[in-house]
Amino acid sequence: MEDKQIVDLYWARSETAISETAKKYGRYCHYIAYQILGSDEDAKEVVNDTYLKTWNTVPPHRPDSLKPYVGTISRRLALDVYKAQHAQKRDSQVPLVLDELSECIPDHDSGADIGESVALSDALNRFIWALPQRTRNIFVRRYFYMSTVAEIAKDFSMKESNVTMHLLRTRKKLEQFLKKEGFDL
Amino acid sequence: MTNTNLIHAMGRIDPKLIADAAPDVEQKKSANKTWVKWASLAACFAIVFAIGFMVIPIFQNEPNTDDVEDKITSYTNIQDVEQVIGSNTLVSNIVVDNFDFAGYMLWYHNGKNEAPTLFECNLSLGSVKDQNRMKTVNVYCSFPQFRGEMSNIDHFLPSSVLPPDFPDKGETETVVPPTLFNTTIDGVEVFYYQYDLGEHFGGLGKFEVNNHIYIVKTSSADNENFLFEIISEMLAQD
Repeated sequence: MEDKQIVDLYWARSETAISETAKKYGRYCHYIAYQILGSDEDAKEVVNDTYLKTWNTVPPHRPDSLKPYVGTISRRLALDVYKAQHAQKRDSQVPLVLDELSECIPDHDSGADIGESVALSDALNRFIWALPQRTRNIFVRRYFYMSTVAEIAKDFSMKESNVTMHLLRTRKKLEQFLKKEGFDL
Repeated sequence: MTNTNLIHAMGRIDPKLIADAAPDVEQKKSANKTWVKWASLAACFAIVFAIGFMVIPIFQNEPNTDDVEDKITSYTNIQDVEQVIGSNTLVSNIVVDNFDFAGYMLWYHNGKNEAPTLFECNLSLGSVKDQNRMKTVNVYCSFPQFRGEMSNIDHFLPSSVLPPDFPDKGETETVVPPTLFNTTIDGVEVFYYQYDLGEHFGGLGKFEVNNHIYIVKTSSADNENFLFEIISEMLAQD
């Protein structure tokens, strides 16, 4: 079923919308949640919560593409769970990703407000869109999906060391870019 | 700013970036299903060819040589079909402006209890079931040359067009008797539906009638939207 039809079902308040979402994007959402939580059970809970959240937000939203919509919800919910659990002991990619990002973004809390948050997202979008397509996808795979370096290497037919180097260079560019944009690093 | 903020900011990037970089998790998990799909598609081809070979001798002596090329409508995508006949059903939106005999539909269905309502239509010439009730084959023909020809549902011999992988070919039943119908659409439609996969599979068929070659293509559709893509083309053999 096309995304538009599924969204129409949500708007019609048909529960079939949820089963169709599960059928089409259940594994996708599970992947995202699992990368963050490292627990199959927790990931399943997040996926179920994703359906509920989608049900509660569509309407009023009418996403053009359901995949990034539910993916973003899963990611956000999983990060919330992660934060609540302090799950560093689990097989999660979050500590690794945080560690990598700390190389280019010093980890001090400057009390970011909503305005800064929006500005940061905007800057990130511009930065990522300006990257070459392959670099862009690798970056998003690592820092949105939190895919492992090994998995990225496999999917992009690269050596792990090359992926690591690719990400390192991109993070350096990001650091320079954000400084240039006036962010407090 | 913290790198935690950055992680959250990554969650608000352009949805297209997210979609473009999405891991191919579905494909990895559905390798076996993909194989089944192709196998089913191959079965569908076999059905279409089988039906084509059955239909050819029936119409070899068809005297009606209407200018088919002018009448055949070619549809290249599902939206075009929907515009003509409406969505979600083949039948109810077809305009019947007179009762001239327009064509035939052979309808094989075999879907558990919930399936028949999905397919019931007054254009059916017949439907058959097998014991496993898992698959559907649906053939619908309305080329002008065919009009007035098929007066007997037995011509289609449903049991002989079952996919070769059907576990049981024994039980068949004709549910709907041959029915006259008219349609504004000239075309051929072939459905192949497999319930255990919950999807429709299209097929590609080619057969000859009265020195014309017909190429019939059907698309796949999903379970909730029992729709199809009808593409009919006619190529002059000369």
